[in-house]
Amino acid sequence: MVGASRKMTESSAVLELEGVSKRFGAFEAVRGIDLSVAPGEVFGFLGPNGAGKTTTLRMVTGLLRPTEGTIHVAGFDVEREAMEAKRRTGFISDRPFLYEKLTGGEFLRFVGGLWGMSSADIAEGAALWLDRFDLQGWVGEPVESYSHGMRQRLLLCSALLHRPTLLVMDEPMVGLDPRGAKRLKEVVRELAEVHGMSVVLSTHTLDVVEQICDTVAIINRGRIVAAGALDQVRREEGQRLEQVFLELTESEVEEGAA
Amino acid sequence: MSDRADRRPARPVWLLNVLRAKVAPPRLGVAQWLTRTAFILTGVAIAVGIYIGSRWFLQLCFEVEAIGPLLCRRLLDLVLLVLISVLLLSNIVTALSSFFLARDLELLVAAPLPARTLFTARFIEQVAHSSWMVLAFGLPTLLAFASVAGDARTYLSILLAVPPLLVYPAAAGFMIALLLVTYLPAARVRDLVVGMVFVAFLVLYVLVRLAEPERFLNPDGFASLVNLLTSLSGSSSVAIPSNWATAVVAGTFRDAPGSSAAWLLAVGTLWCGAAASHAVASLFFRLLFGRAYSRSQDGRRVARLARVLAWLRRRPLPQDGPIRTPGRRAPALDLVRSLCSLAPRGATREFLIKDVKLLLRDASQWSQLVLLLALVFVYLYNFRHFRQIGESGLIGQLALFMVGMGLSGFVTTAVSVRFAFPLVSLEGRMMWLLRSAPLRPRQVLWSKLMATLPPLFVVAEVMSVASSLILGASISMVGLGAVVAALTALSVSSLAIGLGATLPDYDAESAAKVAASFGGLVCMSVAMVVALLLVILAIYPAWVLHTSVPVRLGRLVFCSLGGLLTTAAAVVIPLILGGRSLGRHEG
Repeated sequence: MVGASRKMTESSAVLELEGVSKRFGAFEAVRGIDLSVAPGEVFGFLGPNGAGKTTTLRMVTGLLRPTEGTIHVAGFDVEREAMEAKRRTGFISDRPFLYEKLTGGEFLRFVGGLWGMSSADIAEGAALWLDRFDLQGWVGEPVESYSHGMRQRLLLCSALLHRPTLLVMDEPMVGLDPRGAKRLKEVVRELAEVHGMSVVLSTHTLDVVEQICDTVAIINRGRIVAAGALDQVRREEGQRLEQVFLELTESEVEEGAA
Repeated sequence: MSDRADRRPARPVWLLNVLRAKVAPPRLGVAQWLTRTAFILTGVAIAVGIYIGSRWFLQLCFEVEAIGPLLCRRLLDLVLLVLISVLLLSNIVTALSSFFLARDLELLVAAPLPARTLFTARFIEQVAHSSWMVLAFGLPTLLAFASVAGDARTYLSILLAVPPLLVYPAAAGFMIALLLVTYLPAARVRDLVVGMVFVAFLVLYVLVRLAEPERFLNPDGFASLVNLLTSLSGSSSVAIPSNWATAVVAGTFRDAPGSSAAWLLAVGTLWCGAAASHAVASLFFRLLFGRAYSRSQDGRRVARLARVLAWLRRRPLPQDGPIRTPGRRAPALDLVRSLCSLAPRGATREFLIKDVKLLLRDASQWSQLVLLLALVFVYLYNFRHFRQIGESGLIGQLALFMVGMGLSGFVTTAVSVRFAFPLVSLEGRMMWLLRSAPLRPRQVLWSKLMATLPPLFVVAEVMSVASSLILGASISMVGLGAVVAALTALSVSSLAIGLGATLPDYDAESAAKVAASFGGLVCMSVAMVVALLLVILAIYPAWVLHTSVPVRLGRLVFCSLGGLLTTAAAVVIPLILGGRSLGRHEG
């Protein structure tokens, strides 16, 4: 694991975490994580509930501050050069809270404004992504009338609006119907392959990881227990990721119990 | 709810389980306990005030020769009619929340609960939520009736009359809400009803103020009131529950006509009617709730309604042009956008536009804004009485001028705490977006200040200049008042935004709850002190302008610098504290 992450940090990484820990009082949610994501790489972040996935992603986006360690996005320190790092990051939260009384179009305009985009760029970006995610007919409707899946798609549009270098998605598949999920997978691959965007996503759907991710990391009880290219993590040819995941996380639980 | 579940009898244990979650004692911190205690004490003080005032007024009525008891009965009838009308409106809004919009409904509707249990649990909750405040202030008035016109039996009759009286508007409110939701989305209906309630209250309030009820305090005026009420002493409709409640309570008044049998009949009618209305509401629930609840969850109905409205207005539908030509654009919003375009480009302007839109689209917010304008109007309308006091020579004009400035400062402070203080807290659930955006905390606070300062400035200036002119102050005094009002608006709006970020309540569901939090109380206290300080520092310049005595430069500089430094401190310190707090926020 250490070797894999060290190999990644040697390249010009878009995202780099070095010795990152996060404590909430006496509870240590994340323990000394080292990770690296290269340009154009789709990185899957796996782990059981409460393993520290969301905490890690929220530290990457500046929502939480690490207790120890450093995080760099596109070479900018997330704490010391927060504005530069955030300007290059798009984030999709696992809790799609939105301004209920704004319309979808107004929400995108607002988000574009926060990232300092011009009206013309916002209009162009919104038209593109609303079309890709089948929301163009709802642009003038208030968000309160959107279903969960539609909110998730609107969030995707807002996160992609400013063309980030790094896209961070926390459980992006939750609430999406099969068509929406397929569209998202296509878009993620396209963003990475065509536009060179790095994507970090956490999910419980291991099939999604196997279909679209280049590299994965499995986190359990705040520690990375496996990381690297998919084939490296699978260890044996033909082995399913599900089997690896269960073995690694169950053995950790047993060790903890012992 | 399956048919089989519907046929199961309601088990009391289920009802208790459903209610237990609602009545579990909250775990409060010291600050919350202090806030709650302060509220309870304030409420008790107001209730005692209402009782004393009502008792004094009823005593006057009761002593009117020959028609005193009749007059009291008519007043009781009116009070109960107003009570039941207010309760009806309150119940429609509460029923929408309790039966269609509450967050725990998904769990309850999906659970194998008998329909009767679910209905009864929600109905009890609805009655409690909609009635407690009306009752808290209505009950002292009823007790005043018992104290003046009745005896020990009257207190008992109030106990017998009030519980069933609460059931009628609750049942009617639920049925109206049920029918409305069947045809309109629940969130829109609630906004509509909240708006209607506020407009009705507003009209009533302005009419009452214009009628100047205080003139009834002099003997001539009181005689006209007696005439008015006596002219209304004809028999009223017996089909209104408030009349039955009047019969129950007034039946025990001293010297009341009628027999015990008639009183018992009134009690029986009131209780049987309440039971019947509850049964009808329960029947409505069984027949229509499933369909109405299902419809209330369908977000697409909102879009359908929007299309109907677009067709009625002959406007293009949203899909005619995404983002550039949003279909919901209204002239008022265009005006807002034009005004907001005066703000600097970028995040600040977008925040400004967003906050103003959210304010205008939330009925619970804009209706209070309208109420505020009415209050300002009534305040200024009544301020002319101060001029009469000044002319009578009781208080000097200078003192009245200072009182006017103090009152303007108080209103500006109250408005800022109600509208500006909650702005940061209301971002609670959206903090993930603001914290992940390339924004500095001070940009967020600055944009909130930009959204708050202009309207507060207008309110403060209108009140200050108008009250100075009403008092007949000189132009220089009016100017001084305007300067103090401007400094007050700047100070209290910055205080409200800064302290709103320092002492936020990110979990609160509404702006009103944020304003009523511990942080709101702290902000109100500090802002009041600052507003008062600015008025005190204006005393010397006002005295100089009023009396034309030679100016002592030292004093004038002290007052001017004091005012400017106070304002600077009130602007800078809270914004720094708020920025730091916002920067430390994790979530």
